[in-house]
Amino acid sequence: MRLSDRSLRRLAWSAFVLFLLVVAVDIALSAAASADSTFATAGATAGFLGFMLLIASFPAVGVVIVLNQPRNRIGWLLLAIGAAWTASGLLDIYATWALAVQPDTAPGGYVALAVLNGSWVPGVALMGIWLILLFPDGRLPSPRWRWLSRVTVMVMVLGPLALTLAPGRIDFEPEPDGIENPLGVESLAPLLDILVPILLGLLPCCMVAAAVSLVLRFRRARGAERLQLKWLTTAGAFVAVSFVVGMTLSVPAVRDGLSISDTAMDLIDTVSFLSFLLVPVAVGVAVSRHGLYGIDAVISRALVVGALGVFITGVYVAIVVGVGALIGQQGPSVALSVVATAVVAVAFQPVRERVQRWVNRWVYGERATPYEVLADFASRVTGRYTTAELLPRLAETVSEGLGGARVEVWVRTGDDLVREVSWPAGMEPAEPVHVGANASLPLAGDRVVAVRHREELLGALVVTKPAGETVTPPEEAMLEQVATQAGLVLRNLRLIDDLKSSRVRLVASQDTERRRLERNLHDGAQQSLVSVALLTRMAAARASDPEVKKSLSDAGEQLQAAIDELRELARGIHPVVLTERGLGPALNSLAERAQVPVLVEADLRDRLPEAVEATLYLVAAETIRNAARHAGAGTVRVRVVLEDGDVRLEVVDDGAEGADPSVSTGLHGLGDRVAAVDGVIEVDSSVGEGTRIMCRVPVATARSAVLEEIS
Amino acid sequence: MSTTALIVDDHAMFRASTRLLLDLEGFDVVGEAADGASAVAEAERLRPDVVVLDVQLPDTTGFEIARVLLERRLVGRIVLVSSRHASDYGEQVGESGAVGFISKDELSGEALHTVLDNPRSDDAPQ
Repeated sequence: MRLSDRSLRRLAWSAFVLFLLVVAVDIALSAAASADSTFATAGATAGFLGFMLLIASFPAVGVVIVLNQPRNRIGWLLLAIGAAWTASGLLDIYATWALAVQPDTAPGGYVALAVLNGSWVPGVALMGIWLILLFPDGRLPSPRWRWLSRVTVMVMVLGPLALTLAPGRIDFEPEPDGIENPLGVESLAPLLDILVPILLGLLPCCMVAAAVSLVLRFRRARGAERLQLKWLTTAGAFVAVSFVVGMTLSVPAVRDGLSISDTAMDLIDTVSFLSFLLVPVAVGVAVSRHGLYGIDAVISRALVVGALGVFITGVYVAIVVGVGALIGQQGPSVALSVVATAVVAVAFQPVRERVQRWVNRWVYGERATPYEVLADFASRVTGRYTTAELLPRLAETVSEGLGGARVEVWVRTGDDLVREVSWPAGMEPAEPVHVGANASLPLAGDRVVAVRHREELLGALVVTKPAGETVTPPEEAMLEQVATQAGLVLRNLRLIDDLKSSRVRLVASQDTERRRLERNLHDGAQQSLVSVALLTRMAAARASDPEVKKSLSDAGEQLQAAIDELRELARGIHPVVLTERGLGPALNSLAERAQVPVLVEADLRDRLPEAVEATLYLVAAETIRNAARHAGAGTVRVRVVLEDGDVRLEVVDDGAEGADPSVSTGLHGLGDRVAAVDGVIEVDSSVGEGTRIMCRVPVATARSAVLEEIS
Repeated sequence: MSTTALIVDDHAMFRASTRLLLDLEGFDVVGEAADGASAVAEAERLRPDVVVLDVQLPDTTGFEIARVLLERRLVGRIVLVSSRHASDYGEQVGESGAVGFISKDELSGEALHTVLDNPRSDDAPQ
């Protein structure tokens, strides 16, 4: 069953509302318990409320994500995290209520306590493994990580089960020794004694593995995905640092050494606890992509402010404490403080600039010098890059040269400018912009540079620097230089496009010519021969003289042979069955008439564009002919499948010799033909193992090419 | 009274040969047409018992004409002929409502009678 987006959104809302209701019940029960009981303190209740707030932030972000992207699994994962912890919290409160606050009023208190014992496992696994493993697109980084998802599912199912059934004492605050697990199964004890440590040991191992997957994903990621991962890792790093700091400071020796007050310690604890909130927030920003591009600025600001804080503190400590100790000063000295302030004031600006440079280099990566950018781009222009690759390379190169600036390349088509690429990729789509008569460029950015070739406006480069940075004069000069070279590139692209469409037209007109020729043969010579053959047969049937009859029959048979030859010729030029019934039947008919056994597997429901059908038919026919003639093939297998908007044709023969595309002119000619419909053809042949020809043609592009040809 | 026949083919020489064949086989060839439109007009005027219909016509296909003729009950039985093989056309032959398909290579009095005496021809609208 596949739910509609609307039902999914409704489901998410309902789950969230249910979650809020349960939280409200939790809180009410918890408050009642603390008011009514001797063991639950106000502090515990406050801690519980804080915990619920933290937990609520996950499904809250989750519901926002689902409302925008109902099919993104991350949103549902966040909702599941909320559900897991709420269920656990509800069990906790219920057990407390039923066992300690109002004994005998509610049944099943001990059972709730036993189930509670293992209920933390799913919540921890969802947060610590699934979220990290599936972030940011809700899919595994690659199928190679399936084992981790399987192990995690196993731990999530078996862990709570094993903990619930393990016999032994369970912690229960009112009883100092805890209570005996009411659901414990004594006979399972030997098994569970081994299973429980293994399962609980697997949990941190899986978390480490998930973290490794995140690191690998980050190293592989480009563009927007890299930024998404940066958000999560930044939040994670902040949580880790604040926890380490909090834990270090709470060590009694450290705490006394630095004489941290209770209030300060509470503050530190609260901060490290609340820092956990950054995780759902970062996930929300990353998945919704709202403000995604701000991450580098956030990191950069935080690092600069932090470094300046360290600098100022260091100067004060060094001068006031260090110099004070050297000159034997007891207690704070006003003079030294003034000196320290003066040093900070004078050094601040140069230090800030220096720190900013370091941080930029670290955050945005090593930036190339303008000369390097130009040299790199020039080599790329002259190198063998296809149309599709060149413009993203241009944007990437300029972005590198400008220290991670956002770069857009707009290309002129007619009177409009269209944004072809942007770096980093994944920006919001942009509307085409009309170029006025005065050829002004109504584009928004820190710098807009026109790209021209011989005064003709061909496009524009738009640069937006990271917040707080400006385009420097050397960068400005580099942009102008790149724009000059880009003029050449855009002109070449236009020429290539023209060439390609003319090649498509050529192929289409070839096809038309073949069909015309086939029809002419059929309508002209063949029809006349068929009529004559009919007359001859009739005459033969009526002739009374046996010799005449024999001559006429012979003439009829020879005529028939000529007709058959002519028909084969016409079929080779352009088979009628292809025009009439499409690729599948045409391939079957080809197989029936082939000199070698041919197995055809064509999984096509609809007709394909004419140019695609004709191209694939010719590839198959040529390959089968090749196999029959040269390769000494046993059986040829032909397979046609639709795959992600591409048609894939595979022809495999088990012949002893291979086909070499550079030798076989037939196959070489096919390469050009396939390229004309934006396809690729690969010939894989090794002596003794037969030949495999793989041809892949996009349906959509070819369709539009044909439409263009028709228009 | 002999069976009346209409020949539809854009090829004059083939029409002449077919007319000769049909005459010899005892049919009464009442008319000829060279394209789909005149085929329908002639059928309307002559109401022939049998139409020998070429698949490839300059203005349309024999399948289309067969459908029109049978729908409007203008003719008895239709025999499709073509210089191509039936396999080039696949299911269209069976769906056209014609009683049979004869490749022009195999056209003979015997082939015509075999197709017309086929039990399926009894189902054809009269």
